[in-house]
Amino acid sequence: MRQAQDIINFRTRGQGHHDITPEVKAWVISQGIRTGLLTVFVQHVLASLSIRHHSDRDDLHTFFQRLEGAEDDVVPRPTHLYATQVCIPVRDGTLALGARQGLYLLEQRDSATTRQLVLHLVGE
Amino acid sequence: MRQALTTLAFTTSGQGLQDITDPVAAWTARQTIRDGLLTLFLRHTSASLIIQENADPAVVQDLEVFFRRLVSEDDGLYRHDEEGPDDMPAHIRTALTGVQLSVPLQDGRLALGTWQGIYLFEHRRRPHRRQVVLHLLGE
Repeated sequence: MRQAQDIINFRTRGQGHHDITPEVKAWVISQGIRTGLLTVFVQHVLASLSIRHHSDRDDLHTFFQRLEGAEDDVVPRPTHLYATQVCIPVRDGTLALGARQGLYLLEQRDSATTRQLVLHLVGE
Repeated sequence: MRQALTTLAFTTSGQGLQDITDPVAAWTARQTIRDGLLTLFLRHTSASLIIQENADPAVVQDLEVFFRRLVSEDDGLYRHDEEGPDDMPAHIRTALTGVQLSVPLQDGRLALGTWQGIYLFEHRRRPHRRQVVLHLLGE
């Protein structure tokens, strides 16, 4: 059993969802661990993680904007509804995602920002 | 330290919650790992995993009613509707609830509270075959 850890940076293009599956998957494959568990951790409070369908980003964005539009402080912002951390099993050396699943970084800031993610992989 | 990995498949019966605690606990017990961490990962985008009360069946029924009200099936709201009016609402409900859970393992048993159960939450109206990957790490 061994582990690997790294920090990767993403440049987001303002508010919205950014598909980070290719970079994260490439890092996992490069570690040469066949079976294990990947933890992805985002080090920010205005960015979060979500696993979702590749084609539903715009409708989700609209849904959350409508929730926010309700003038009520108890309505959580998307960042609070989404996770700061997610675990994905590793099988046959790669992420055990379903065929339609992707890992997305949700950016809350309007301006382009660099976001830092910690990747931790344990397995063998 | 060692690990075990498997995939369990479940057939759902349309929108609602299905208690999967027993099959998950049974597989976990067979791995003879006493202390560790079990991670469950659902490989789909229109169903999710949650931990919820297992004592009163009304709780899971009320949850289904709550989500049906929160995420409308209104035709005019969404662009992604290739698979019917429950298509996009199912993805939103998944985004709100999540596809991954981690539960500690203590003395060979899942460290769930007395009234906690692990549920597969189906968000589509029709029955579906759903895959849950289980990863157990410990010793």
